[in-house]
Amino acid sequence: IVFYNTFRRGKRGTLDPINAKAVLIMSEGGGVQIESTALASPESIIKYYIDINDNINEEHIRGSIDSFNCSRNISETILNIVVSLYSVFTEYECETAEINPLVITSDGDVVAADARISIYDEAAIKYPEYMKEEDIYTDLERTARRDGLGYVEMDGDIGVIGNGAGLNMATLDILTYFGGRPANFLEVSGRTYHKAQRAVELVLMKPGVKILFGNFFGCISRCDVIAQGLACAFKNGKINVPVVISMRGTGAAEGINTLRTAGLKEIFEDDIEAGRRVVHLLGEL
Amino acid sequence: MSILVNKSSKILISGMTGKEGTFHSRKMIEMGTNVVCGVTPGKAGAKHLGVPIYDSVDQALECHRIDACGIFVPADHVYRAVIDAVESGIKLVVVITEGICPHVAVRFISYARDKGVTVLGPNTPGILTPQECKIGVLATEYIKKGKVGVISRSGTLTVEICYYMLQEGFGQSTVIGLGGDPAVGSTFRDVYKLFEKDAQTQAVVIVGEIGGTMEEELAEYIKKSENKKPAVAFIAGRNAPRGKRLGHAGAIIQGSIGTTESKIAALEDAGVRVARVPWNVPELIREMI
Repeated sequence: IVFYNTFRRGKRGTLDPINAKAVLIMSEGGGVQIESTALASPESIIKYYIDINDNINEEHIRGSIDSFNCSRNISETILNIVVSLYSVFTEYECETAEINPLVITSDGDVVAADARISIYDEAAIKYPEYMKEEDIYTDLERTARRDGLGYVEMDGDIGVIGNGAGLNMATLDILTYFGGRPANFLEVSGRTYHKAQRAVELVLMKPGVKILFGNFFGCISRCDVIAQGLACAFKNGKINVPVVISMRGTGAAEGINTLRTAGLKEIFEDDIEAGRRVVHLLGEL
Repeated sequence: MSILVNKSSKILISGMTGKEGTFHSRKMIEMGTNVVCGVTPGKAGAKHLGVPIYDSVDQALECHRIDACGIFVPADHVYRAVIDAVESGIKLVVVITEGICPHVAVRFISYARDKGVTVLGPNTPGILTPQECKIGVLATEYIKKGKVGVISRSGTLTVEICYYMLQEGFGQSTVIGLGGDPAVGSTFRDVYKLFEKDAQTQAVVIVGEIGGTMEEELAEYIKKSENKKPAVAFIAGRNAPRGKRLGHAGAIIQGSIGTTESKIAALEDAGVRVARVPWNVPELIREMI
């Protein structure tokens, strides 16, 4: 029979973008409710801002750990754990590095009962052995990632494609405003606006997608290039659902021409009217 | 008057001779931006788009006074490019490049802040004062001189909202892209404070999105401000699924942090009108002015 001490401690390091610093959170009550604990009794959470260009200040942290009233040996062990976790956090360029709970047994052992780190995508490519995607992404999302496309699967039946993450998010809002349910989020822009053809194929791979809505406002991503990709997808006979496109901005005139030539009928220069049309057409199917 | 840049601002472009650098520098110059030189290591002595190229920022500063720098170099070189710009005394650095790990961004943002340098980005479409100065990639056709300041975390959506504004007769004093990453050099609050002091700006439009707490930070500031200007916001991503990153690295709802509900509530509590759909923004501006 082993008794576990009733104290549980959580430690978490995160980046605080507003202050451009790393944040260390320590609390005496750990566990999965730490976020609600932080809201309910913020005084129980110790929070440190660390300038990522400096080293961690061991003296300050030692002082906080002392407030947990553990023996000196255990306090030193905890301090070493905090410092080591911080090295992991910086070395692996983590979004978060968490040990929660850190358990102190009645025998005086310090045990990390659970620990997890999450590494930013940009750094994660350096550690292919740690890439663990099955838990977070659906099959389609993983396929999209392999193609370099930002696809997020949702529940509805309206396939969405557009340029610009913000515009794409607003497209989801427009469809919902008219009573529609998006099947996905997918932006082609920046580094990926040449991939419009592949993007269309991906969106249509999801079962239950009954109509496709493309919302494009060309800025850097040019509408004429995007339209060529879309036209290829039509010509290859891969599209068997109605399609509605709104196209404006850089290259829009050429783009719309390309789409008309490819046989597309529902072309708008206004995403509000296009969104309304999509939901209307869906209702008639 | 505008903020941060105007027609007399002297601009240096880092990475000017690359494909993206060339394409966008040409557009910046066409618009009337005072691009005085570019930096590409190894190409000193060359001329590109009519301006001299130097090996380094320090070299460029021996010959020119520079007010601001636009960074178009690939992601791996951005850290060095920003540090060099800051060390040489340039006071505004605009990082267009995307794909930089937030850890690296936090390092150079922190460093720049300590030296009193303003950073926009990374992953920003840049800054545009219509008819005067553009650093970045914002589409000038839809942005015209006027009285409303625009601060945004997105690129394309910013231009769409400017387009809706123009249709209702509202032009822009300066348009500022903060960038889509979770760690960026300037926040809504930082830029809003500048607009408060700008006589030309009568109102401010905030284009926010899910993720982080920048909008909440702004709301807290506006509540206490003695010089507040009328503000209208649109927050994208209300229909975003939780826990997934939507395009921008910074656009993700984590637990209870970063929801549109939280941002809208905070902003409305501070007296900011929040449009539920982007095309309602101009109507709200009209009501506020």
